[in-house]
Amino acid sequence: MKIVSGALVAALSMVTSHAMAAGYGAAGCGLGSIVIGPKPGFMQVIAATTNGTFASQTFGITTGTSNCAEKGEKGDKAGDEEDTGVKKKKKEKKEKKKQQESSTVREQTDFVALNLNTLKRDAAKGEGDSLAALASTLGCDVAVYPQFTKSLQGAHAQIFAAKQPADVLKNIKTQVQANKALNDACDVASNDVALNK
Amino acid sequence: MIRRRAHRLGDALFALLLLVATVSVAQEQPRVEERVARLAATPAWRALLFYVPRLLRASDSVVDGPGFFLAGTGRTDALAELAATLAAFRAPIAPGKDDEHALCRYPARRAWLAGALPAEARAWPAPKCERLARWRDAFPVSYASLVFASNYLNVPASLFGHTFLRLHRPSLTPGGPPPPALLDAAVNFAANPTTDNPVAYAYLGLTGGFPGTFSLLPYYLKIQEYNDSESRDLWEYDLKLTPAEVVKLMDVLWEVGPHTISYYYIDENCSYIMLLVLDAVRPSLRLAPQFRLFATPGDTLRIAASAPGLLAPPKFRAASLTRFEAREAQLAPDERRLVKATFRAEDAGQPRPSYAGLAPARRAKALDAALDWIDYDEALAGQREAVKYKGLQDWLLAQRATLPAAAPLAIATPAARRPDLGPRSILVAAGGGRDYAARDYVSAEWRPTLHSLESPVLGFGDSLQIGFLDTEVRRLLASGRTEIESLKIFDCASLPGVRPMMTPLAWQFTVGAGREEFGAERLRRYVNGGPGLAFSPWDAPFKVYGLATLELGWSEAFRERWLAEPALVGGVLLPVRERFMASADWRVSRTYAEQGGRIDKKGRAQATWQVRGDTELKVYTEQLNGVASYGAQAGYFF
Repeated sequence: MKIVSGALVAALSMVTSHAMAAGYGAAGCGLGSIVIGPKPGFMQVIAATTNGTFASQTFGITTGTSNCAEKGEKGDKAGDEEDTGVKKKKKEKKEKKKQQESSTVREQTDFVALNLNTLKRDAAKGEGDSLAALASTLGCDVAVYPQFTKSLQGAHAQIFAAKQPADVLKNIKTQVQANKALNDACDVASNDVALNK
Repeated sequence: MIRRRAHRLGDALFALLLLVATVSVAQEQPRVEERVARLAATPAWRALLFYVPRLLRASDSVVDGPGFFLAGTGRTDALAELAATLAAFRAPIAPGKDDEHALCRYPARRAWLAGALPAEARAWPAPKCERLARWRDAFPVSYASLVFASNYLNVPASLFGHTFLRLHRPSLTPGGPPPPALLDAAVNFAANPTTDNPVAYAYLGLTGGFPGTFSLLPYYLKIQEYNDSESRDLWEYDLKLTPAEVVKLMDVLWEVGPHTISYYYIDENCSYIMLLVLDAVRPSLRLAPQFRLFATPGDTLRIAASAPGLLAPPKFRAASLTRFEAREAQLAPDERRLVKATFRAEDAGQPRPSYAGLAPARRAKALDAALDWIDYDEALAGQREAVKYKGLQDWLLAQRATLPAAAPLAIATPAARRPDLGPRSILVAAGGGRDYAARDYVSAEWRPTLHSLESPVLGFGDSLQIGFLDTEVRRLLASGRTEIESLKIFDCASLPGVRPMMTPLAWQFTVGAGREEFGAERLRRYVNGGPGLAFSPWDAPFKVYGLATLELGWSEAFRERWLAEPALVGGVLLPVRERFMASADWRVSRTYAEQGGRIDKKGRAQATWQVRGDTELKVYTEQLNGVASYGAQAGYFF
């Protein structure tokens, strides 16, 4: 039996080496706020799934923000340092509102970042699960999903000319704001916050 | 050793003291100790602690993390854990540390004990469980599904599929439609590998060397991982839980979520743990104790499906290849040629053919197929960008965006592959027949897992073979000799059919040992494998295939020397019914050995019939160089 189990280990490891060679990076934290590391790529996200690196403190969602909050706060700090005086004043005014909205915007940005290829494809086709999910993330009423989809398809070139997910999100919000019916039915007022990401 | 024993004794005494303290204040009934002892022995309590039956020893919990237990011996002593839990529930709240009180940390135990010991519950303090409240608020769940990701041959850890939970969010407006599926959440349990060394990985994976952890993810990440990146179909089985059970599910996850469980590839794996979670939610299910020896994810489904009123019929979420095939099926032959020519031109660096000749609606369909091919070919998922066909993709997308919106792609559920309908993994069979030397024999076979190409397609389809430790023992009636006829340590084959626009490689790989078949009664140890092609001509409901294989072996029949044996294999699989498979193959081989080579021609025909879900009958006949053998076998899956 020892020989058999030895052979089984050998057989498994032969095929495993291929999978292990991918060299997954560190990834992960709580729901809706997955950190995109320095080397973005799907395998990194996969690592979060299969390696379960963020099950540490109460399931990664204890405080609703988990270790992602840390990353988010760091990001905001970096933003502070870059801010000029004028911008800072403006920012202080909106500070309270921002705090409420920041998690929503982070969720929106993450959704766009982590679904970018799918969104690009679905938007061109004018159909797909990712568009409804994005519309929902932007707070749109179900009734305007078809219109939302149409608007994204029509402006496909402009929207996806941007390379950064935050810019793609900004472009999408601009499209929504330009359409009165969509603007009324969606909640995209927090456009400027997305820019800070 | 002595110290450990003393420690255990101390724990037991402490638990007893707590119990006595609890009892003396409780004033419920005169025989509270008995009542508590009875509670500790109930399946409901033991399921909350993730206790499992063990072979040859007392049952204990699979949870490793010490933080999960309140008693030092909680992992092995359910009564001590119950006493410690009751004591902790009564303990005063540390100022400002409400969230750390046991009542906040163990909401599932709390709810269950409050129901079982209402008078006792009145003596508990009322901590403000803010973190728990936030988890519930941030995470409203209307119902849950058990999701099966189909078998994936490219990664050994995924050979047998995978299961996880999907948590459905409630509608945003009362009575409104459910929110988009992508925004639901998934609860996954997986090994957390601590090594990159493949040998260590396999060894530790089999022996429980990796801590298994729970994770909570957006469902879209799981869809990306399985559907898009690995091209695996997803089967979603809604769990018919009551609202109270959904709350309990979330409470159970809250309790066990942060703790580790040693991950055993064979038994204490992702699927088994999901069953333990379901048992904790509804103790009357008793799903986990139904496992014997192995727990494959498919078995999880079959066991869960056999529990009355637990699973709804599955919904199918198509893999990227399945989606492409559906797109391809919508195209006319000239449109398929155009799409194919597009990729040929791109690969050759030539100008792209124009789609302008097609009417807009047809053009949209052709472009959609081409785009889906890029998704499949480059395993594009979520944030991953095309590399090989980046320019082509942009070119196609720009054209597609100017055309009418597509109708949602309708993909029929491939009912024959519905994973809960297949037989369980372990096959034990007995049979008999006459071998090439005209000797009668009786045989016994044990195939721990999972599926053979010659078996009926139900639950698995017609292109996959996965076997581990498939062993057949024969006893010759005349001589009374009993010998191992065949032992296949690892036996895998994949026969994906050639499609109009793609030519996937078929392949086969086997490691094992077996008797030489020309009556020499000698053992051959071998590694065998090779590539080939499979196709269903004219989309007919059967599959023909051809393989070119090479076997390297060491055989007693060739004076205990090494041998090499190239062979050509041709075969046909005819799934007459979902539960009835007829198959035939023909193999010609040339053996090269230091002492004496040979040429063999071998044919085989077999019919396999699954009676109900758990019994399999098969008859077969073989011809080796003009000499016939035949046999029959009856097997039981469990």
